Amino acid sequence: VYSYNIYALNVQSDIDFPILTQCARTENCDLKISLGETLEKLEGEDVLARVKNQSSPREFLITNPIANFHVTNGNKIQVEVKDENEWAFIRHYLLSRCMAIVSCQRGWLPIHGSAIRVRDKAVLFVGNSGVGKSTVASFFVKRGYGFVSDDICVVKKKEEGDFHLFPAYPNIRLWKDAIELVSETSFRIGGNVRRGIEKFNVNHNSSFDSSPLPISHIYFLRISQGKQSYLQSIDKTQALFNLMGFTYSNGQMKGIGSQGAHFFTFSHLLKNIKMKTVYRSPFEQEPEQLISLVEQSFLDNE
Amino acid sequence: MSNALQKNIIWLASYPKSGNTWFRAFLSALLSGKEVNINRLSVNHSFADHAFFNQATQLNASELPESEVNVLKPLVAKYLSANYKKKVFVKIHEKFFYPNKNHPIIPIDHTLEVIYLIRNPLDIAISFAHFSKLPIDNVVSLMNHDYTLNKTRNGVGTHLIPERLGTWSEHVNSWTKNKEIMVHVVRYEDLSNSTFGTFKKAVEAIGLEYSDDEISMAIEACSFEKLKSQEAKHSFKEKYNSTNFFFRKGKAGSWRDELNPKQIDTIINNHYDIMASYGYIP
Repeated sequence: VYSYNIYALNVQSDIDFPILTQCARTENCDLKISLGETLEKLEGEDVLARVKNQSSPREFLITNPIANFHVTNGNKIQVEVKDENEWAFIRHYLLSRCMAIVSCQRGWLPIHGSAIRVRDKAVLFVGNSGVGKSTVASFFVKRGYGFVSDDICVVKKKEEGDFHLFPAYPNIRLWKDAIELVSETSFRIGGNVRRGIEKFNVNHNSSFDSSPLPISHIYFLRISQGKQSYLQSIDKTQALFNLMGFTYSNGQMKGIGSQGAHFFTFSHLLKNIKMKTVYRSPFEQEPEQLISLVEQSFLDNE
Repeated sequence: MSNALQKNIIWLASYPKSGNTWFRAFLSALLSGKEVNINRLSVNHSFADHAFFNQATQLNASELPESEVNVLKPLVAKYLSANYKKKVFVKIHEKFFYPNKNHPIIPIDHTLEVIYLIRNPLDIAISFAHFSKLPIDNVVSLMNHDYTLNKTRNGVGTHLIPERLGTWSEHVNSWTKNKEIMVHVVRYEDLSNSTFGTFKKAVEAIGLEYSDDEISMAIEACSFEKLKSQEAKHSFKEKYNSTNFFFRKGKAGSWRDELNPKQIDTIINNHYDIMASYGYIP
């Protein structure tokens, strides 16, 4: 059994994750990842069926020619492996989507974004798939900022204290063209997230710290239709709309976990955190200009 | 909700730049009885919607091989169908084909009707070239290849999943000669020249009941000038990022001024049979 710490959870796993650093095994296990046969179907009146996946507030099941994943109660993931050639995908799915589902089942808020550490606070870049969240975060890591989380940013309350961002693990996933764009020789490029897919695990161990952080800024990334990138202020209503749109709790994971649990988290975020929209131009010759613009914004605490 | 069987999807199928957006703007105006906002069309479901695919499958389409995405697409459409109690319109640029031997790219069991929009490929070549910022020669060539739209991942703007077009002729044949589904063909040129009558026939084919006055008002609400004016003021979210304007001329026959003789000959030679059957041979 392998032991890891992810989002401050003690994870014990039958599956090893080469991109993670193992930690000492503790008696307390928050999440168990096991290999074995899964159900083929969930039963019950509260089960929501989608495409080859189903969910209820406490359960999620996806059946796939590669593997089935059954996530229950935020503390157990059962994996039935069907294609031994697809371990990269199985590991990737466990650390991304399954961990988002675990978060939902525990009542935490998983935001679809990447985060960096700035003066012991977290700055998030949030947006749709393909908009450049991981790329922007990587540019900041290149500038010396700490890496916090990629793909899923989990927000939850500390045992004693306020809402914090809980770092995931020191790995970011970048497309080949994004790696070339960021062009940082110190990045350690690992394996593909899936056979034949030009997206790679990139290790950021040296700039990673697993301590929970208060959040200072959230930047919503969008594609600009103009030739220049720019920042725009947003009002609270729009910020709430954006937050709901980019959390795994809403839409993306409808029917998974408790939706009501996020009300207080949203309220806290809207009250305490500065939010802006970043319009990123696909034509910008020098992405560094956009990075400087955003950097100026959070350093000036705008 | 289960993926219960119901025939409620009306596909708005077309090769790109064949009037699909105009038709959706018309339907949006007709169904809402209001002016249209091009960035908030009520008829806005796209078969290529990346976020909806991800939500339905709990997978990320961009991290899957195209073959797997194609097998899942009809299941995603079934899921959409099951979540709508009423008719649902879905824009599709994909050609009709079988990603695996048993299941076509759209779920026949959930298909109520197909509106197929066809346009003179000579005009499509011009419009597609402006839309994609590709040289006209490249567009003429891709219209004769099994081209896949939205395929290139350039790090930004991947809000659409790939759609396999096939050649222009193959695209038209795959839908209009399909025996498995009800297809109502709408010529772009008829929408331009006999606007009211053409829209009215399409409305009847879909099984919608609207008065002549309501149809006229919807046509007025989505006039090309109004759509173009809105884009000038507020931009249009569906345009390619590299495009200056999505709504450009909107006229039939502008190829005469913009294609050279070689390009015209190539398109006619490549697509003669279909062009002849729709009256597109000059």
